[in-house]
Amino acid sequence: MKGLVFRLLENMVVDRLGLQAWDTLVAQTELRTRGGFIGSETYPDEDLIALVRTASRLTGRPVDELLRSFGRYVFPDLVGWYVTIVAESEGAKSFLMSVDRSIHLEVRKLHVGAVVPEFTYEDLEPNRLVMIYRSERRLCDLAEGLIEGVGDHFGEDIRQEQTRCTKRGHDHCRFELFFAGRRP
Amino acid sequence: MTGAPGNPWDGLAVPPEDPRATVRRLAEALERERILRNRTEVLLEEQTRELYFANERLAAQHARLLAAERAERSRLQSELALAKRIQAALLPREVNLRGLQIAGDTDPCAELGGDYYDVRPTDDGCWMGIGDVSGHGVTAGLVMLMMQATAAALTRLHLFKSPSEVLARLNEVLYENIRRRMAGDEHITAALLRLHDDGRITFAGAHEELLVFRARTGACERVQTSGTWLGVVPDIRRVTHDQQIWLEPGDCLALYTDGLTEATNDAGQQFGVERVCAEIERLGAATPREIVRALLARVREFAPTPSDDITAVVARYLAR
Repeated sequence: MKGLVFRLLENMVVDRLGLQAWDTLVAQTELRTRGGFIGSETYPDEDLIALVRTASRLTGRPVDELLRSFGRYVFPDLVGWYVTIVAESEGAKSFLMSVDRSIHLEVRKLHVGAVVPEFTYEDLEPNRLVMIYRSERRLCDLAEGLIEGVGDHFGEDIRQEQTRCTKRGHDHCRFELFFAGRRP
Repeated sequence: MTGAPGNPWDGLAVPPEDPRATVRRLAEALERERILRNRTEVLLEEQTRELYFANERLAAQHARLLAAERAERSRLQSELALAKRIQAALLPREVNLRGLQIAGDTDPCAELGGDYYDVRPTDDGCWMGIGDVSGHGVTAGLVMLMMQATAAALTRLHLFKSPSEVLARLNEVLYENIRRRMAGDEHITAALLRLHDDGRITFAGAHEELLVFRARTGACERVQTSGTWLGVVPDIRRVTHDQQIWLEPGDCLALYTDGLTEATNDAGQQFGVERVCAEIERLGAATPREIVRALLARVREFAPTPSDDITAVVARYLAR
């Protein structure tokens, strides 16, 4: 996992709750990484999961909810890296359809060695999109939060139904997305 | 989590702590910061080194590509120069026959010219040809060479007496080669002339006007040519007919391609057939060589950067 994701998590916690909260989270988590995280470095995936599990223990909230919330919160920070691609998108749906071929391509260029999830699409109807998520990390909750963040960015309501999930034994996660149009 | 109440992460908030705990935590934070700084420095150094070597590799690769491109360009230029020399060698500059003085020259605007002219002596005069392949450059140059070789072979065989017959056979070969084998769309405007030592000229083919300088009057006559382009249709016999003119001793026949008359100066004016006639009339009794040289010099002066090949051929009839 690229250090950028850890840095985004750190920034979120520090911005909202202060340095002490981040320190507490790190101090109570058994991390493989010593010191802090550097955006361009690669760290064990387990460290992110460990941090979120500790947060779950400390807050009493489930891991999937924390990951979803994190995804939604960090989307605006990620947008800054890919302003052109976002600006070229007509709306949430066209942006989501560009993730695999454009955003992930750029991620691989910018961050050598980055391992990104694979998305395939079924564009069935104008207001409907199926996104198939495949990743060994099984961070579909984070993906769900990011999709919510996309909706926030474009001011659109996106209803999500996850009809398949690796956590339920499937070999992929299937997001059925329904676009309800611009928010008033 | 954009500030909504009940955000799941908000449960991480911690109450104010004991100052000693704060000091301990800060010390731990400082230690983490120190490790991080050391790691950042190492990383920075590694990445700088990596960038340096990548830059070196890129520069070396760039130099290799540049050298290969230069070598390739040089090879192509040499081959084009060779092709140009071959083409130039095939065009006769000066031919002196019994009763006829002939000179010609061409000034190609690209590496290879698409203009054609030739003089092929016979027992009682000669064959002359002039033509212009559409377009410029290598393809036009190759079609011109094809035309030159075919016309030379056809006239040398003495199978056909009239220019229209030769032109029809020439068209068959060009049509087959250009349209069928090359799948090209080039075409040629051309005139073929048979000059006899009694001053008679038989000619056929659609090209620029023939200019005939009459020594007796000191003026040029303009003779229209008729027919059709070569290489467009398989058979041109129906529209290709022989015409005839006569030269008196001292008269000159001038042939040219449209590059000469359509050479355009910065003011947008064309050199024009009138200036060609005026130049020939001014030179009057000069040798064909001198007239050709003067025409090419005048047009270069008029339009220093030509956009088309320029050709001029002049034959003076001296009497049998």
